[in-house]
Amino acid sequence: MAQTSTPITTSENSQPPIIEIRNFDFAYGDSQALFDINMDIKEKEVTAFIGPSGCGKSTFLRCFNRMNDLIDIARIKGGEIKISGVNIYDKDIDVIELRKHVGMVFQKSNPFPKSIYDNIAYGLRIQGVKKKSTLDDVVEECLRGAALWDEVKDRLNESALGMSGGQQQRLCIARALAVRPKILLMDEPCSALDPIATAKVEELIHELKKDYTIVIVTHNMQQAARVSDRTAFFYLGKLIEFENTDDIFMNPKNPQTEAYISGRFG
Amino acid sequence: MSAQKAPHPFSKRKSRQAAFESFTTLFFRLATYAVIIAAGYIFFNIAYNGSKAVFMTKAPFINIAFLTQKPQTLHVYEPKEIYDELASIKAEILSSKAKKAALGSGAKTEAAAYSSQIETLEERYETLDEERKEGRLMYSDSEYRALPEPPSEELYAYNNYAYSGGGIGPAIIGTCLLVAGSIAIALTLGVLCAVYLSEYSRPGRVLQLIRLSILNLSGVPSIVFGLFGFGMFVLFFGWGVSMIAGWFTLAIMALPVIITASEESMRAIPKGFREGSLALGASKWTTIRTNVLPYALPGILTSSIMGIARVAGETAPIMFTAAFALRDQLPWEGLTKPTDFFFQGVMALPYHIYVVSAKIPQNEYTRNMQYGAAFVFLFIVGFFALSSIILRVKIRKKYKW
Amino acid sequence: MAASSKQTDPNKPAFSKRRALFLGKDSDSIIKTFFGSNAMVAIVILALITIFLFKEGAGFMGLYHKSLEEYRLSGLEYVDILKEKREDYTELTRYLNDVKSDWINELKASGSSQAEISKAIFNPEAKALFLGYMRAGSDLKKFVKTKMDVAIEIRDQHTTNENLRETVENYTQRIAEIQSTSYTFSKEDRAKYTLLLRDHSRDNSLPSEEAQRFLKEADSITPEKALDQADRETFAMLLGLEAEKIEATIKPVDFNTTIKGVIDEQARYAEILDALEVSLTEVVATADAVQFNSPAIEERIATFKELNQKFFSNIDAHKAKLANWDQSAPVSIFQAASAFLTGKDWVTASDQQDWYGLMPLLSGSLLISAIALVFAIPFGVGAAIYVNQIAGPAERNFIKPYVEFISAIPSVVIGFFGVVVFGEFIRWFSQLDGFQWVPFFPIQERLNAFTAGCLLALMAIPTIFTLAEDAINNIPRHFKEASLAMGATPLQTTMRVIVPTALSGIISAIMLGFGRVIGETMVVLLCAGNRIKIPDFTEGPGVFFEPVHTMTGIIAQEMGEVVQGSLHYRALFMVGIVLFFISLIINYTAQWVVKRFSKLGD
Repeated sequence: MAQTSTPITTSENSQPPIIEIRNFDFAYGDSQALFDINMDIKEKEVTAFIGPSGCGKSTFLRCFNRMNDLIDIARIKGGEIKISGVNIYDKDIDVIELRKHVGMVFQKSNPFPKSIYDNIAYGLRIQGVKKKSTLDDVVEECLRGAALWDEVKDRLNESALGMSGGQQQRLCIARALAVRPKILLMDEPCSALDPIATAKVEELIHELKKDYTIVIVTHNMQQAARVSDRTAFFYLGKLIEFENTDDIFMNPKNPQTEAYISGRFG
Repeated sequence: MSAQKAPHPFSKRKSRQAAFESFTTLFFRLATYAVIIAAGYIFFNIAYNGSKAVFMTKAPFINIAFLTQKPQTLHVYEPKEIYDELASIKAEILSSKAKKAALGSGAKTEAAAYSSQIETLEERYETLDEERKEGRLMYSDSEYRALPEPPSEELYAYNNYAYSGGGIGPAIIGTCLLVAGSIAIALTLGVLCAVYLSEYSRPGRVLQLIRLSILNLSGVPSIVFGLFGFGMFVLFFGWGVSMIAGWFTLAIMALPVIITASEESMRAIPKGFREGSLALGASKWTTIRTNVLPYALPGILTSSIMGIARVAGETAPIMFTAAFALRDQLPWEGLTKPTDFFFQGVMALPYHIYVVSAKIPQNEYTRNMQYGAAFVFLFIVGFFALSSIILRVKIRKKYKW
Repeated sequence: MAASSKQTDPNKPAFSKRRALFLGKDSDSIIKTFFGSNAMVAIVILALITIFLFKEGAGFMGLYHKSLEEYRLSGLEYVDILKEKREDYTELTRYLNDVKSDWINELKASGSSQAEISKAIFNPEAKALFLGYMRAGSDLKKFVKTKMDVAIEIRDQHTTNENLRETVENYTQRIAEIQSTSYTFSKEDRAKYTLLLRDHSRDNSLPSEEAQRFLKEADSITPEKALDQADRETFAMLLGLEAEKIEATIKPVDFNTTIKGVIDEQARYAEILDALEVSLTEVVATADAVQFNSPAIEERIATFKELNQKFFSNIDAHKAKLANWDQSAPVSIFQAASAFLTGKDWVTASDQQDWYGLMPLLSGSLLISAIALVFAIPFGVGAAIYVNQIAGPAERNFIKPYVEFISAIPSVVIGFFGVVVFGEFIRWFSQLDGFQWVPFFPIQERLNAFTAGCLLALMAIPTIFTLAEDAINNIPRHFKEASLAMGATPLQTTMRVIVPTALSGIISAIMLGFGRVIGETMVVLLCAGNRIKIPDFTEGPGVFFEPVHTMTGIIAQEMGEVVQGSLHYRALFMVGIVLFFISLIINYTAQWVVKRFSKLGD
């Protein structure tokens, strides 16, 4: 594929990127939502996408596990996204395997109306795991991983809908971990949570960074600054700047980025 | 000037506008309650008269014979003397009335005389009528045949009334079988169709065509379904007038209701359930199977019960596809091979009601059967409809995502 | 876990290769195809309904065309023209009898005794008028009757021939089948074969040894015995003989000659008519001599005279019509179609000519629907407005399920209620002394269009109510709020903002209610009175109380009794087709109204 522009990458280039995006164009019907995105996302780092509403950051995130396939009018107009070196929009990609590889946590926590245990075990059960001891182990491991174990260990069989909002969101993260993804996408995971619950989720993100590559979309710039290693700023469907988080907040190169960060728009 | 306090700008005032307003409101209210009362009267009338056939004052309080026996001819023997006298009194009353009517307006005393005469005659008639009711003998067909000899024709006046004796057992059983089979077929087809519409379909020509078809199907008159079932299942497939032909005809009728209800229930499941599951790497089918259908099922079933009520209530589609006016055997009797079960016609309550209300006269002997059958049928259908309505309200309260 | 076994290349992630299960499709697309094909069920059923209705109904036009052709060729059509004049005459006789009974009533009312009345009626002048008028037409009646008998005989002979020809054709087919080597004898065949053998063994025209052979053969046939080629040939031969016999009984009808028996005596007919004119003129003249002593009756007699004049003056036109009748004029298929669609008679199983005209049924259906809608629209829409805009939540939570419950009442139960209670009620009501000023009270039949219409209204109300309520409910809150904020009263808001905005939805609700009413079967079958006649709209509002028949009712009533494949059977399917398309059109229009006139965008 002809590469027209060099990808915007961060300065240190020690390890190969786990996600490579090249010349990516994306549209809903006739209106183009993303324009010529080039970007490398590195393994076991937290990458934050920031930008004003409607800038395409959530759309972009949903391209990584092809959740956009669910929207009828969505289509890729050009370019490619490679995960672990494989173009995920190739014809013979198994979308289901891809989604096991790339987990996702949604803006609004969406636990299934089942018990806490069944929520976490769901991902394994659909893969055909039936052995109770395996499930038990994984459920505990994931709940611990999501820092939820101590809070819910006594009521694993109660409905997940009875949990608080923050707990529900961490449960969704735990649920996503159960299928052992390499990459975890988070679409504004804290937008519906109060500050205390948000703090807990952010703490969790810090923990998860050791094992997972995390891409997070957020509205909240402080949050991006707190949790991410690198930050990408999107505006009107274009990637404006992609830098180390510290750099982008302290020393933005692009005037639009600066305007956004300093709160002049968005 | 006047001591009357001037009204402040926001005080209520009477005006033609307000009067018109309350009048119109009253009209709307009356229209609503007129409908409710009219329907209520039908319920009441049928329940009141029908309960006489179905319930008894003695234990076990329910007339089991009526609910289980086959319909039979009713043989009635009335004491001849009383019967004849009643007829002559009736004739006398009529002639007196005619004479009274023929009198000019001047003859007041004569008119009064006629009136009192009519009154005495009517009283006499009533006492005699009571006696007749006590003295009469009634036999259903089976009882009649078991008699060593019929009551003598000299002492008794004899009449018989088709379908008026016995009970409605086979019709109840037939209706239950018809409804169960057709709903099983309709639910299978309907839910599968709804899964496509709600989960897989994409906007386009095909989807538009499907929706248009469903809408149009729901408006097709039931008798046309009957004709279609007759042409396709009875004749073309050669199934004859049979239960299975009735099943498919009724199932096709219920299909639009069930598809629409199922699709609605499935669409009501929040998107999050699907996305959450898909993002975990579940396939689309797994997602539907584990995260859509289970939660939509209560809604599908309750709305489908309404479909059951409609199907159970229909007469026209089964008239020439499945129903017999009278059948001596119960569906499981006299089968030579198991498949015969499906290829036999059955009695059905709605058709039975049609037969007894159109083909036999209305009198005190036939009324019991007519009202009894109507009441039992209304009760069955009403039970389904009511449970659907109540369950739906409960489910709406329970599942609020 | 699950992934390890599938991952063939350790360097590639698991998602890099799609799993194909069948024909290069993965399981999900197979499942999708499965559901998709299932969703077609609605389209398929609609198509099947169309196909099967047409399959059974299609032959109608051809058969009806043939029937109309026979009607013309056999001269029945000519006879029907003859009958017109006879009918006119009968009508006049009836009118005169009416006058007579009015006269008697008037005499009674004026206080005349029985003897006086008899005297008045049986005085020679009156007798000459009333009896003379009746007797004058006997020749005409006789003549028409003779001609009718001739025409019917011709037609019947022709029909018999057609049937026999068909039987012979069936035999020929059977014989061809039997002669093919793969044919095996069925149980019925054996019986038939044995029967034929025995029959022919008694046949004197055959050589006796042949007859003997047949008898022996017949005796030897047992259910176990295998039948061979020779048997097949004998069987075929015997069937052939049978067919020949049947063919011999066909007496061909040559319409060109037979028609002469119908139309030959035109001159005599003209004479009869002229004689009738003369004698009637005489009889009518006697009316002047009768002492009616009543201006009303005399007025009617004057009208009667006028009617007679009209009758006479029409005779020439009638003769011309007879002379112009042409047996050889072709009947086009279009005429058959229009005879069905616009025909005014639905006469079946008659000894003369069967007519399958849609009009009496269609007009009956429409009349009942109109009555039903007159009641259902105000009640249904009114209740919808009340429940949605005026009623409190408690009321609403009671009324909405209640109305839904009404929609579940089986139609046959409502019909039953109509037969035993409501019909009686209407008749009782019409007989009340206080209402005798209403022109058409008391009504004759308890089961009539009005009874059925009222009950159908009750069935249409839930449909109209539910859909109209939905339409009103779908109007965004801000419409109402904006109106109220401007100081409009709640009712003004409802009537000027809510209802006009929801109007397309309400109209569509009414259309669907109409569809429900016109397609309803059991109530009309039980309560409409089932008289096959176009309602007499000249009666004014009294027309609502006439018994009528409907499209749905006729199918339900007659379908069980017709011979499959007959003209009558196909006619019922044609009615079904008309009904089907009416329902499609109503449905489509209802949707179109919503789309076209919806003021809410989407």
